[in-house]
Amino acid sequence: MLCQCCGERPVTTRIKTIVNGRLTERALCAVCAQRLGYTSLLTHLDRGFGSVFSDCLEETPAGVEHCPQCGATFDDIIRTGLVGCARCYETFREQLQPVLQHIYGADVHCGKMPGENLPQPQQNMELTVLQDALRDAVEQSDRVRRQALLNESLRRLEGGEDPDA
Amino acid sequence: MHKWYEAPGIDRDVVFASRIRMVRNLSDLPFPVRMSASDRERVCLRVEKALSAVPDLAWTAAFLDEQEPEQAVSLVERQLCSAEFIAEPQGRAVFYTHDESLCVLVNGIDHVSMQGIASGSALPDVLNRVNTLDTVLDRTLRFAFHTQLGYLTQRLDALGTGLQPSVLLFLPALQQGGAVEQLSSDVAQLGFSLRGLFDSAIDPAGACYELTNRISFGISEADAVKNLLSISGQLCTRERQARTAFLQTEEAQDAVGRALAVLASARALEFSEFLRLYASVRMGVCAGQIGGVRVEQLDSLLFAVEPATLLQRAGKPLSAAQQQERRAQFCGAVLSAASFLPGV
Ligand SMILES: [Zn+2]
Ligand SMILES: [Zn+2]
Repeated sequence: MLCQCCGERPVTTRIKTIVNGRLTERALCAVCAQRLGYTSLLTHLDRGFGSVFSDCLEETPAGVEHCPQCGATFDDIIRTGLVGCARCYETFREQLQPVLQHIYGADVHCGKMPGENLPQPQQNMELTVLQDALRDAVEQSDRVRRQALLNESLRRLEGGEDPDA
Repeated sequence: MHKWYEAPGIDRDVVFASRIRMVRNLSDLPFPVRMSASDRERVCLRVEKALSAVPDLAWTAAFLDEQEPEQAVSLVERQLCSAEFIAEPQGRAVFYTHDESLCVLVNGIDHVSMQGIASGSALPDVLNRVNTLDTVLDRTLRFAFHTQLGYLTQRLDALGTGLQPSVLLFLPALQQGGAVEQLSSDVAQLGFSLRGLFDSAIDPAGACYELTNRISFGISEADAVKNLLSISGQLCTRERQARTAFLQTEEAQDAVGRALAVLASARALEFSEFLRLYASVRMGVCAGQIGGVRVEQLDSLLFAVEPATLLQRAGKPLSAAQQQERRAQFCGAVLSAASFLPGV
């Protein structure tokens, strides 16, 4: 099936939208999905799920351990890409650890804790956190090209250059 | 009625609204991917009970299983939930306040998704409101949390704060110049998304977009908001520059004048045509080229004439022709005192 937007490339993404008062599904190719803002966060950070899971799968002995709360196995989590319940994070802590490390690097949660107030913003941080995440991503592949791309987009966003020009 | 969009807001010429989404899950029930029908019912009952105990707020409930299709679509049109949310209605519910500025979605991708929205640029205030709601609900619902991973969810790539701040932007001049698609891929590389708000898939109509910060891990709520404001501030500056340049041309002024004339006097209007004219007229109002109507009146008009909402508020079945006539009547009423002041 071809993309409903450009009519040229094969469909990779399906999204729901409202068209003239009706719920509709749109089938888009990867290029149009990106152009219209529908891409996975992980794609952009070079941390796709598929490869993460297949890497981890090889390392994990085929176990049949079930989460005592929801009954999920680690295979279920890999198959769906979704965790079964809060308890799964304990049950499969060791298996999930490399996956989480691949997605988040060495970062830890640094926001609200239950029952507490919101932490104050850091001074002069601006885009540094995002830039760190991107720098990590850039480490992974095609370093020079991605870095150039990133610098360019940051410069444009910071108003240094008009992409229309 | 007094909905949030009827109130004036800061920077409303470019920033239509500010939105905060905060997702949470219960710790003792399976996540939505593994929930049974009775689990969903249990979550709904618990959330409903917890909401009824929140002081000073009254909630309207919409159980999606019981909604007519146009009622469900109207929830999306009024910015209370997404099209994805109503696509699988089983066991899902939306609870919202009278002004529709706070709502709680139950049994979507997460057990609970709290959402706050306000007119114009107001992210810190909206974050405070949603944060307070979270604190109160957490006392009874005990959301799943892990010290290192943050708020737990079924999505491994969405751990951390569970926060998605966004701004709804009106970008007619950038869209006109073809700059939005490039901006959309630029901001995507920084962990943001920029999407059209109406029929977002093919042709972003009405020049309305949503810019969302999608990074929720390793960053605090306040910093995520700060990063979003930094990017949206840059987009606003660019839009205002482009708009000033664009509106100086005679063709553009002529287009604004014509759009006002058609919107104010048409006898029937399709929604897609309305959106096109709305974008031109809104640009004219913001630039002072159109007087006699305020931008928040124009935006309230947009909410009133969206197809499913228009039908629902009519309270009776309307033919396609009747819907278009009713839409045109609403426009005529709101724009009766509006006038075009060219060359300003
Ligand atoms: Zn395409
Ligand atoms: Zn589990």
